[in-house]
Amino acid sequence: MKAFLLILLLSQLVYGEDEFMTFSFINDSDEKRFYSLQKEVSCPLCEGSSIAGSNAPIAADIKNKIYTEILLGKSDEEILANLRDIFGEEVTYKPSFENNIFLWLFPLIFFLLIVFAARIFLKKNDKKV
Amino acid sequence: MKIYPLLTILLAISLFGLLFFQLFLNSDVQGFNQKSLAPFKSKLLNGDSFTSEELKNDSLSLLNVWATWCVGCRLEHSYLMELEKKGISIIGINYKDDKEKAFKWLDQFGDPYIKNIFDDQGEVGFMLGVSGAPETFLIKNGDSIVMHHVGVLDKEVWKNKFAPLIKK
Repeated sequence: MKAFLLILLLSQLVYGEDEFMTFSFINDSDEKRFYSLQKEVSCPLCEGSSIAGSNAPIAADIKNKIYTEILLGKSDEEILANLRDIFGEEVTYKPSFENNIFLWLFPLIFFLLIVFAARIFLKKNDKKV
Repeated sequence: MKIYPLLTILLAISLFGLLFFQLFLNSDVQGFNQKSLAPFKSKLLNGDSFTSEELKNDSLSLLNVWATWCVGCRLEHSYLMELEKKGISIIGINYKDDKEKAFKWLDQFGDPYIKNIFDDQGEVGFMLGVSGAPETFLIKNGDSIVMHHVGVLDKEVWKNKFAPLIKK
């Protein structure tokens, strides 16, 4: 199995310079992951496009990286975290939780605030009646 | 029960506190978060091998990503020559380029580099987060990246992004 993966990997390296590359996968779920991950990564060179929709050389490099990491058995989150380490936080469209805790918790805090405010408001109104 | 008014005020204060905290945290837009430089090995244009350990010889060095196909690199080349004259050690990364063309370029326009990494496959570049050329990194003590500039390096950029870090 490992030898097979290695051969796949090497064959990819040999043909790495082809403009239209084909990526072969052992199973369908890996292939689906490969294409869905591409849509989550923005192309660092071309604004407003994911690497899926870009033919820039760097987009091809990132696709290759995602491909080899999928073959190495890395999880989606590991792959994206790795790309964020290299290209910075902006490379993934979805902000990471660790670096943006406030951003993710803001709706919850805001919701609680409204609930508490509403309770005070309603209580005051009750007294009036 | 006076717990709810109290909680509301507390939450509101913490919310605005956090907002301001974030605001000041991100105030330095030009800033760059220091990153550690992952050790790497590569080959040089002249065929010798290179390890990132060699960067430790200088307390500060520039890593300049360039290529003969890159128009911006031609634009910044004369400024790199100036920096070299000022005594700044510049290590080139010849990115996805052709060896012969690279040598020709250096003969024709001058060679501001101490050494030139030959990164024809763009592997070193990828590891550093390079998305094109020209790009320039400021390396401190050979182990941390304190600045990463994407685009042409000129006097203005040097004054705003690099010089303040060198004085520190």
